[in-house]
Amino acid sequence: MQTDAMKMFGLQAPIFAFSHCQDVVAAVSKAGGMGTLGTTRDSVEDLENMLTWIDYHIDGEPYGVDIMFASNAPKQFETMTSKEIMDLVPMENWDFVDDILRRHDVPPYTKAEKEEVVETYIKEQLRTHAQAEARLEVVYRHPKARMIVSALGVPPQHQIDRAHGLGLKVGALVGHPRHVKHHKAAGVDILIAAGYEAGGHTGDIATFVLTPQIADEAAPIPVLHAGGVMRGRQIAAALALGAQGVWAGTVWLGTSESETTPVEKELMFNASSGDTKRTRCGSGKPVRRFHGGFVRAWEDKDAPEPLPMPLQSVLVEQAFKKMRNHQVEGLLSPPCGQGIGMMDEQTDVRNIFLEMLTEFGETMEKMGDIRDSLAA
Amino acid sequence: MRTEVMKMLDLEAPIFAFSHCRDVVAAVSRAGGMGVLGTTHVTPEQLDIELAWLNAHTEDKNYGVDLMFASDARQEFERMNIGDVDKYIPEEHRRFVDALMKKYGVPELPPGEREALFDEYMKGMIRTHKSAEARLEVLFKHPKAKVMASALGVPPAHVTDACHERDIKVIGMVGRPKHVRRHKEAGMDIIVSAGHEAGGHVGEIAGLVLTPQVVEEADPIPVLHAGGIARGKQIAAAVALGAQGVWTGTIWLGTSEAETTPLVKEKIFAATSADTLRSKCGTGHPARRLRSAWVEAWEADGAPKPLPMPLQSILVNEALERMDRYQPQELVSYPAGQGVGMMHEQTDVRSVFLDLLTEYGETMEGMSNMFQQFDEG
Repeated sequence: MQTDAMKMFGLQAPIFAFSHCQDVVAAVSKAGGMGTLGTTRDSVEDLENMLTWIDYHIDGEPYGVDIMFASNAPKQFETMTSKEIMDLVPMENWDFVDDILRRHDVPPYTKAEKEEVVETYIKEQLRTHAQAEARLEVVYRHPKARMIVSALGVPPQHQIDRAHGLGLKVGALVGHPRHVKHHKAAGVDILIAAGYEAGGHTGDIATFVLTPQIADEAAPIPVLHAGGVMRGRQIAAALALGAQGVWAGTVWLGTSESETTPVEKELMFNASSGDTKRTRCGSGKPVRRFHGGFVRAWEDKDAPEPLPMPLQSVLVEQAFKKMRNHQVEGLLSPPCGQGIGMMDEQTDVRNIFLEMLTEFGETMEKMGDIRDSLAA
Repeated sequence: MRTEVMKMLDLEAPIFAFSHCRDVVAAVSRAGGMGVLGTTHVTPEQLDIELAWLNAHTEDKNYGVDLMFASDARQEFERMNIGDVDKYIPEEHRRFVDALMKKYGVPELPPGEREALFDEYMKGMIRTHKSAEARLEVLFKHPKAKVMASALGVPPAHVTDACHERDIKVIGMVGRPKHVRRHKEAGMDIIVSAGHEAGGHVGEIAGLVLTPQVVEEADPIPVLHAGGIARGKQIAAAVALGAQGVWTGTIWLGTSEAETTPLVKEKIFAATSADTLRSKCGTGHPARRLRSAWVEAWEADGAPKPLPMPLQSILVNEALERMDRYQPQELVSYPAGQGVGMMHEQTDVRSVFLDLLTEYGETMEGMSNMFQQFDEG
C-alpha cells in the first residue's frame, strides 16, 4: 500500500514523526517513516550539528525539519537589543514567574543571571522570521533533509520557491479549514491537519471533524492527520477520514531515545487524557501542555494575561531552563497531547513503530472483513 | 455487516440519532437506525403524547428515550416552588439575564405566561432524579420504547433493573475513560463515548483519543462513538477505533423535520467548526452550543459564574423561552457540535441517513482495497 504522502518521500509506512530529538528522528526514518526535527529549542549552530549527526545516522533515508514562521512576530524585534526587548515585559510578569518557581522551591535567576540567560535566548532562539530564515539556510546545506514544515502559518513565498528549487517538499500545519486556501495558493505540497487533541500549538477543532474538512479543501494536496495518534487503529481511522498518513509527536516522548527527562516521562505515564490543557502561558499562543504546576499557576484569578508571541517566550524560557535543571515534579508542564492517556511505560522508537504498524494492518484487515459482510 | 449493537436492537444501520424532535426520531428508526428522543424540554404528560405519536409513526420499528440523571441534583430542589427562587438564585444572576434581554430588545412574555411557564417548568421539567423517574414511568407504558439512554450520570440501580425487567436496553454516556467502570458495574448494555467535539453535555477529551480507551475499558460491552459525525467516512473511522456504531445529534438539526427554527438553521449552515463552544450557561454543566451573543456574554470577564444544575436552568428558562419565541438575531444559540462546519444546506432525514450509509460503504470499500495492496506489498 502506498499513499501519495508515502510516495512523495518513498516511505514504507504512513507515519511522520515530529520530535525535538535527533535520535527519534533518525530512528523513525530508518524504520520506514519520516522523522521531522523540531528546531525551536536549539541555536542555529546546534541545528547544524544535529543535522550533521542525523545525516550520518539515518542510512540515507529522508527526514524533515520543522521551522516556526510566527506570522505576528513584529520585525522590530530583529533589530532591538535584548535589554530593549526585556523592557517590554512588565515587571509584574517577571515577578509572577519568579514567584511560581519559588513556591516550588526552585530559586529564580538573579537579575544579572537572568539578563544573561535571556540575552542568549534572544540571540539564539527568539521566534522571529530572521531566526526562521537562518535555520533554513542550515537545512539547505543538508541534502538529505527532504522536507521543511511550517509549524505556524504560511511560509514566506520566497522560501517555498527556494525549497522547491532545491527539490525539497514544503509542509504546513493547519488547525482550521479556512486556512487551507492560503497554503494551497502558496504552493505547499503537504498539509498537516492539527486537531484540538494534539500536543504543542493547536486550535480548538477536534480531528474527527477537522481532518475530513481539511482533506476536502486540500485535495489534491495530500493531508496528514495530527492529534492523539498513539495506536495503529487510529492510523486506520485517519485514513478513513481522508488523510494519507499521520503526524505523531507525543507518542515518542515516552521512548528511551527521547529527550524527555525521567521525571517528565513518569508524569506522562501516570497521566490520563484529561491531564493536559491548552494554554498561552508557554509561547503566547495556545499550546497543549501537561497540566502541571506551571500551567496551573497561570490559571489563578490573579495571574497576568500571557503576553503575545514572542514576548511570552522571552519571559518564560528562562524559567523553563531553571525547571529543566531542577526537575520538580509538581512544576513541570511539558508540551504533550491528549494521547498521554494511552502511554503507560517506556519503550523504544522501533517498538512503537512496529506496534503501530501491526495494529494498523490488523485494523485494516478487520475493516476489510466488515466490508465483505456489508457487500454480501 | 451486523455489529453486536445492531443485533441487540435489530437495526439495519449502526446509526443512533438523538433528537428533541419526534419526527426525526421516527424517520431514523424507520430508515433502519435507532431514533432516541430527548425529553428535557417536555413534561411527563407531554412525553406520553410524544411516545404515543412515535408508536403510530415508527411502523414495525422501535425507538429510544433519553433521560437525564444528574448526579449532583440535590433532593431539596424537588420541593422547590416559585417562592423559593429568591433564596436559591442570586440577585446578581437575575439582573445579568434581565440586562441582556433588555440590551438586545427581547420582548417580555405576555402577562400571566411568565408564571405559567415557571410553574410548568418546576412541576414537569426540573432536572432532578424524581423528574427523570416520572418520565421513566411514562416510557414503561410504551412497549416500543426499547432503549433508555442516560444523558448525564449513571442511572440508579433500581432504574436499570426496572428497564431490564422490561427488556429495555440501557445506555450510559461517558466523557472520560475512568468513568466506564461505574457504568459497567451498573449493568449498562451499551456505552456511548462522547468526545469534546460533540454537541450538548461534553467533556474535554477528543473522540479520536477517547473512543479507543473507552472501547478497551468497556469490553465486552459495545461502544458507540459520539461527536462530530456528519459524514459516512467518520462512521468508518469510528469502527476503526473499535466502536460498534455512532451516536449522532447535530447532523439532524439541519433537516426539514427538525424542531430548529429557520434562524438556528441559518446560523448552523453558516457556522464553521470553530463557531461552537463549551459553556455552562444553559444548564450549569459544560455543554457545547452555537456561539452567539448570549453564550459569549456568559463567557466574558465579569459575567456571573453559572449556577449548578438544576438552578442554572431555572434561572435561564424564561430567557430561553423568550429567545425561542422572538428569535433575536444576535442572541439565538442552540446546542450543537463541531460537526456544524460540515453542514451547508437543509435536507431531510432520509437523505442524510442514506448519504451517511453510502459514504460509509464507499469508505469501507476503499479501506479494503487499500489493505489488499498493503498485504500484497
